[in-house]
This record gives sequence, C-alpha cells and structure tokens, in this order.
Amino acid sequence: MAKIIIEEINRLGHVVSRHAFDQLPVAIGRGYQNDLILSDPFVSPEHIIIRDTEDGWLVEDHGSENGVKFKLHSPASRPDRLTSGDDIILGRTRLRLYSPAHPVVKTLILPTKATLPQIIARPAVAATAVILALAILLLDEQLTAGKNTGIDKLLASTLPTFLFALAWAGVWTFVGRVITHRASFLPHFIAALILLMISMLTATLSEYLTYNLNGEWVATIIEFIIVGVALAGLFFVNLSNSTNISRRSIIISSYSVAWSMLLVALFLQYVNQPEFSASPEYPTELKAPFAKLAASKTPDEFLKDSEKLFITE
Amino acid sequence: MHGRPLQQRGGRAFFTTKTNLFTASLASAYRALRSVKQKQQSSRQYFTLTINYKLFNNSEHPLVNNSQLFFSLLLTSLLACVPFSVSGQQEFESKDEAEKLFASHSQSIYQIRVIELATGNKAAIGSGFLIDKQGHIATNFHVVSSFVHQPARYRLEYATLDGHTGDLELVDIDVVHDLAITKGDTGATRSVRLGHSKLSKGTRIFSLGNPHDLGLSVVEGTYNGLLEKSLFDKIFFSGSLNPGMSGGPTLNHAGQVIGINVSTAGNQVSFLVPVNYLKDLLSGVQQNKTQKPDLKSRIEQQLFSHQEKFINKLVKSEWKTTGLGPFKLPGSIDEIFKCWGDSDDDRDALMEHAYSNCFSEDQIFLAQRFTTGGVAYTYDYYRSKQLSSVHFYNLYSNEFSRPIRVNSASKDEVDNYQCHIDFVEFSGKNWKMSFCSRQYKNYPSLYDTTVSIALVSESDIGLVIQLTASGVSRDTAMALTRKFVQHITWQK
Repeated sequence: MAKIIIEEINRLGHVVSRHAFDQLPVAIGRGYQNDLILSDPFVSPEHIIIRDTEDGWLVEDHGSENGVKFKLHSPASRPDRLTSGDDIILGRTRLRLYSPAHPVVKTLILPTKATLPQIIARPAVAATAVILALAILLLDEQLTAGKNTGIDKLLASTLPTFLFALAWAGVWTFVGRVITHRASFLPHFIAALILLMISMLTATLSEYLTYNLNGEWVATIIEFIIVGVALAGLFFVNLSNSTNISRRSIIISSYSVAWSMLLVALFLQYVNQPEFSASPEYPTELKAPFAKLAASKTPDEFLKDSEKLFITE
Repeated sequence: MHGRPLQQRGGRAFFTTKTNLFTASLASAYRALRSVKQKQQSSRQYFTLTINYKLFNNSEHPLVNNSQLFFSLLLTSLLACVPFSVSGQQEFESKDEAEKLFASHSQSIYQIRVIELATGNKAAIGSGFLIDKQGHIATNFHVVSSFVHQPARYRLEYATLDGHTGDLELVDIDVVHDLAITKGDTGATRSVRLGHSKLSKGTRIFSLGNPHDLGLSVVEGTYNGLLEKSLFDKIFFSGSLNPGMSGGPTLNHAGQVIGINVSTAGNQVSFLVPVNYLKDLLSGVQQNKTQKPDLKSRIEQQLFSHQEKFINKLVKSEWKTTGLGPFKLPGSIDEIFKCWGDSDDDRDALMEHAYSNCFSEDQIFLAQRFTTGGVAYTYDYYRSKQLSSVHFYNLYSNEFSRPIRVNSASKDEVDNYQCHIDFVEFSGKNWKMSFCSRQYKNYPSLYDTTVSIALVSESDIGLVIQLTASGVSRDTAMALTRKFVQHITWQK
C-alpha cells in the first residue's frame, strides 16, 4: 500500500496529476534522478526531499533557489511537520500531500431523472415544440393580417423569428464547445422556441385581461412575471448545457440576469415615457364578443364615473 | 377663425406672393399624400388652409386620403386659374372711390407691432385703426395674442404712415370675435367712423391694411353676405386679404367701418369681423374707464360663456339622425356642422369600411397653435368579409386608437389627458367607451374632451364613434355626451 499520495494542483484548484509512492523519502525536483519529476522551470533540479517522521512528514529543502512554502490546512504543532491534506509550493507548482487513510467525500448518486436540457432535446418533445411554435407564429400572422395573405407569405414572415432562435442556439452551442468541449445544439434551440411560445401566449392573455379589466397594469404585471420566469428558464438551459457551473449558481445567475434585464427594460420604458402627450392614452384593445367577461355599465353610470376626471374646486 | 389669420409672424410669412400660395397648397397635397404612406402616423389634424375642410389622416384607408389629395389639388388648380384682379369697367369706376378713401383715412390707420423685448425686433405685425378721440385703436386679438399671453416678453407699438412710432397699451379684448382695443397717444384726432354690416350682396367695399409690411394699401372687393352658419358671425369678403392686414378696417363707400379684416382662405375668399362686435366692445370700454380688466380671467369668462351658449343650444335643439349600416346616428346636428363621408373600395381589404365626419365651422384663436371652441364627431363603420371574429377584432381594434386631434396646444397650455374607460350597454348592445379630458392650464374651468365608443357585441360588425369638444366645461361636456349617446341606436 502506498505510503504517500502527491497531487499536483493547478491555479483553479483542480488536480492535474496524482502520484502514489510506496516508500519514503520521496525526492522532488526538475532533475531526472528524482522520484517525482516536475517540469516547472522555477523548480530546482534537486528541490526537496520528503521524509517520514513520527509526528508527520518532514520537508527538507536541498538548497533550492526559490525555496519552499507551506499551506497547512490546520495549524500544526511544528510548522515543518506536514500532515495529510497540506500543500507545499515549489516555484509555481503546488503539491498536496495525502496519506492513504485520508477520508473522501460521500459518493454522489447518479440522477435517476433526466435533466431539463435532456428532456427538451428528446425527439418527440423537440418535434412537438417546433411544430407548435410554427403553428402559433403562423396563426398570429394570419389573425393580424390586414389583407388576404397566402400561406407562403405567412411562412416567410415567421422566418426571421426562427432564424433568431437558430442564431441564439448557435451562439450557445459555440460557447458550450469552448467551455465544456461538448456541442449540443438542440436543447438551446428548443428552449428558445419554448420561450417564444410562452411570451406570445402571455401577450395574448395580457390583451384579453386588459380588455376585461379596462386597465393595463394588472395585465402588465402578470405578463412581466410569466416572461421573467420563462426567460430565466431559457438561461438555465443555456448555462447548464454550455458550462460547468454548479446547479445552484446556474439558478441564481439565470434568475438574476433575466429579472435584471426585464427591470432595466421596464425602467427604460418608464423613463422614456413622454412628459406630455397631445393625444389621449387609453387601453385600445377590442376583443371578439365571446371574450367579454366584465359587466357593462349604463351610460349614466359611466358618465357619472367620468365626471371624476374633472377637477372641481 | 376661418381660414388663416392675417397676421404676419416673425418674418416667416406663410403666403408672400401668389406663387407661394400655390406652393403652400402643393405642400398640403404632399402632406395628404405622405399620410397615405406613413401608416403608423395615426393622429388626425385640422388644417385650416382650405375652405375650412379639415384634412384628416385616417391613414389605414387610402381612399380617405385620396379624396383629400384630390381636394387639395383641386384647390391648387383653382388658385392658379383665378384672375388676378377684378376686370373691366367696374375697376375703372371705382378707382376714384378707393383713392379718396385712402387719402381721407390713411392718417387714422396704423401698423400694430408686437416687439420682443430682448431683441427689440418685431415678433408679429398687423394693422389697427383709431376708433375714438380718446386714442382707442382697434385691432385683432390674434395680432396682439403673444403680448396677452406673455406680457413680460413683449410690448406693443404702433407705427403711423410716415414712420412715427409710439407705445400702445392693451385695454380690452374679445377673444371669441378676435378683437382687441388698444390705446396710444398717436396725436391723430380723426377717428374712423363705425357703420353697420348689413349691406346688400355685391356692394363694393374697401379694405385697408399693411400687407407683408409693404406699406399701407387699399384692397377693393365685394361684400358677399353675413355668414351665420358658423360658431360666430362673419362677413364673407371677396377680396384679397394678406398677412399683415389683420386688424385693419374695411370701409363702405361712405368711409364707415363695416368690418375688421381677420382671415383668409386664399384666393379672394376673405373674412371680416362684423363691426357691431367692435361697437359692443368699445362701449364697454368707454363705460368703465377706470377699471383695467384682468385679461386672463376675461378670456376665460368669454370662452366659458361662449361655450355655454353654443353647447346648450346644441343640446336643446332637435337633432337630425343619419343612417350608417344598421345604425342610426346623430347627423348634422346643427347647421354649423359640415359633414363629409365616403367608403373604401379596396378589394384586398378584409373589412368593408365607410365613414362620416362632421366638424363645426370655425375655431376660436387663442394662440399660434392653440385654437379652441370646435366640436367634431366621426363615425367609422366596419364590416367583416367573412373573417373569424378573432381576426376581425384584431383589425377592428387598431381603429379604436385614433382620436381626433383638436389643436396643437403645448404642455404649457394644457394638461395631459385623463381617461376613464369601461363597458357600457345601450340600445341593446355592448360598447367599449372611453371618456378623456384635459384641463386648460391658464383657464381651469375649460377642458378639451374626447369620447371614443366602439361596438363590441357583434362578431362581424364594428362601429367606432368619436366625439370631440374643445374649450368646454364639465357640465356642457357631460350634457353633450349624454345627448349624443342617446341618439345612437341599432335599428336591425
């Protein structure tokens, strides 16, 4: 059984290489006679020797030019006696020493459920999303067309939206390729389409609400919340599929980015409102008779309410 | 105000020559054409250049605009065709008369100047004439309006024929009839006598003033009657009035004032304020010599009582109704309203559209871009060409957002509109109704109001009704709206 395990750690704290030695002392340096050969040019050919003592490992400096530094994980009785888990720094190389009895963290259990990016990238889900998005876009174009429009023109008018979703997914795929060396396009694309559908449906819902409530702010708040959650969901898929950030950080950053974007948009809209408008501003939505859920007033009741608009002294 | 006020502003004359008049109309034709293209620019505006035909930009419907275009072009061509002066013998016979009148009155007629204090330059010019021995000089309200609104920025000055100038003091105004009386120590003693304005049609009359700052001149024309089908009486003068002549007198052959130059629609179509309004104003001034009225409250009081009289008369009168699709709606509710209408005939369009627009003649001039006193109502009727109700309402909904623009008042003059919107049921149908009003900042008892009503209970028929009244009080606005709504019925 090995008596000491030496890990080489990079600047980010990740393990670069791991070496197990059956016996001590262990000589470390750049020279080829060493037990552990380092390629760091700031390390001397014969840099240190680690010896076994009764109260820990002793590190002997062999007259190296750059010396040796210690990073102990707990205060030791003697600073030159190291125990399992302590770090030594030679030149620009950081080594961590472990004894074989060093405890390890608990085993992670493999997820039994598929992750969100995996679910939406399933062929059935993906195909359904594409067809639904196309249908919603076409229906919206058709229901707002002012003139008789052929299906070819309707399709053409949905293309820019699809191209935008494709471009968005493309960018995130590239990011994923650079960061995680994996490229998965479909989850990004489907997530973008789902966001698109949610925001279109929410906008429609908001129009119907505005129509029935005779006011805009309730509908705007509901729209704001739904779109905020959906946008955060999109960022969640993008980040979890293209980076190695932990799940918790992904949730925090996707929510904060999505909501701050919406808040900035809301703030800009508020700030850019003209101080004076020469025309009256009122909610102008009109919806088909079936959509009317609110009760009607009599003209007299309505006019009585309208009288409150006049400032009387 | 009928047509364009005849006051010249800060060197930027609107019509300087006949050619420019022509250009101005082309510009309006271009404006109409442009509004066809700019689909999103939906505000309707009044243009006062034509025979009070208010051009609107109902931009979704090219035909409306085409008719406007046609109208503007028609006017343009008329301008080019009309002979420059009255021809033949008449001119010969009247020459002596005009010459005599000019000689006897030129000393009592002045150029009225509004001088900007910081630069000492003229901000506006008009004409005026001496009406009594105390030195009272009559002119138009719109000539001195910038001084009235901002007395700290301007002062008033007169200039005689021989270039002598002196200060003027503003004594009283009649904002509704566009009159003002000023006072100055001009040294002249011979005032212009005030006559009456009941002449027979075709009588030769002579207008004096200072067009385009070119010097005092006399313009001969014909009296063409007192127009009573408007917000206020005015004399129709067939003669060429030009900017700078505002406030000058128009005389009969005996040298008596019959009216005061006020505005033009171009092309020998000009208007005068009947002299009896000046007489009323003058006698008021002479009766209370000591009191100097607070002009702001005077304007408010004049506008208030005018609208009260006008709207109450409307509300009390019997209204004619007109049919539009399955609806019966208020028609020309008073003889002062001019109605126009047409329908779209676009085969590709998914809705049929017919419309009717009624406007009261005239508006009261308050400030350069701020006119008031007008009432207008428009109907837009839509029928679906077998669209689904959702599709139809998506298109119809776009038409609910275009209220008539009553004036171009700025934020210093009016508040923002406040609106109340709700569902209303009458005539057995459901409607979406919005009532908006904005207060006048300087005249807090007056408001502009806009009522927009859209039918929402039929899946294939739409009707948008807009009723706008400017310069009205709460009570008159409410009474007018109430009566208006009572006259909207579905008669299927």
